[in-house]
Amino acid sequence: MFEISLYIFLFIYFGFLAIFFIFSILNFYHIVVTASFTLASFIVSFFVFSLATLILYATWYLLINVDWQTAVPLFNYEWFNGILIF
Amino acid sequence: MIISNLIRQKSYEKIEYLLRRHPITFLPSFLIFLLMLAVPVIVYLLINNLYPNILDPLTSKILFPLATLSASIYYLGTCLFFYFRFIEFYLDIWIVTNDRIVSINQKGLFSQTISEMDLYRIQDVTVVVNGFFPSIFKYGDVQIKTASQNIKIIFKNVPKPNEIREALIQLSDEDRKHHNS
Repeated sequence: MFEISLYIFLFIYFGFLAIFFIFSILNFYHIVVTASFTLASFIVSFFVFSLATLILYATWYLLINVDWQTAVPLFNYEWFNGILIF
Repeated sequence: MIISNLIRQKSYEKIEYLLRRHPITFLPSFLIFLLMLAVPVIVYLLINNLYPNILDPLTSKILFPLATLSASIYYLGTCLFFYFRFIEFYLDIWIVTNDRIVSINQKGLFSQTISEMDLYRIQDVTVVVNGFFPSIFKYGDVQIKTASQNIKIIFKNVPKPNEIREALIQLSDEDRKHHNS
């Protein structure tokens, strides 16, 4: 039986978060360097960053009581027991 | 940064127009974004109807956290997609001064094309308003050509294209007089 801990998925999530923040900051940087920081771009940037904050808060709130040490079975031989009985 | 720095504005130069696409042309991207936001809610409602206990935080010790992390990644990805689309839309800029036209086209996050055209070289200005929404909301393409057919700048989906065409012809005539004298 192969299994991994649930926190591995949390690390993958943190990796994605890092990519998200890098690209969001790059987008904002583009707005600034192309002299496009206007009311419209401010509203959209504020909307995107607020929504991202809300999503992160909701994720944290939903996962606050999760036991990250729980083992996640990836493969179990028992799943195939009896599958080839004719 | 300000526009004058971006185009390295000359001392005698005056910015006449700063053009971007009409805001209504961003509506399809916004609608796609709203649709993408609705997808996980629909999937959740479907799963909850078919298997009521599968996403219960008290009983599902593995599936619930995995589903929450996946939904969070999906929503953050959707936000990023929306921001990308906005950047592509908003960072296409056309600047008309009393001396030249500067066209800045953003393609994705890492590709930008900047081209310039002197006003006195303008040979032909064409306006293309094609379709229901462009006719209703009064936006369209302004195609600017020089005598050399290779050089062409297109203002895509800009508001009031006819007004811009007339202004360009007038500015071009004035610049030509200035260069001939």
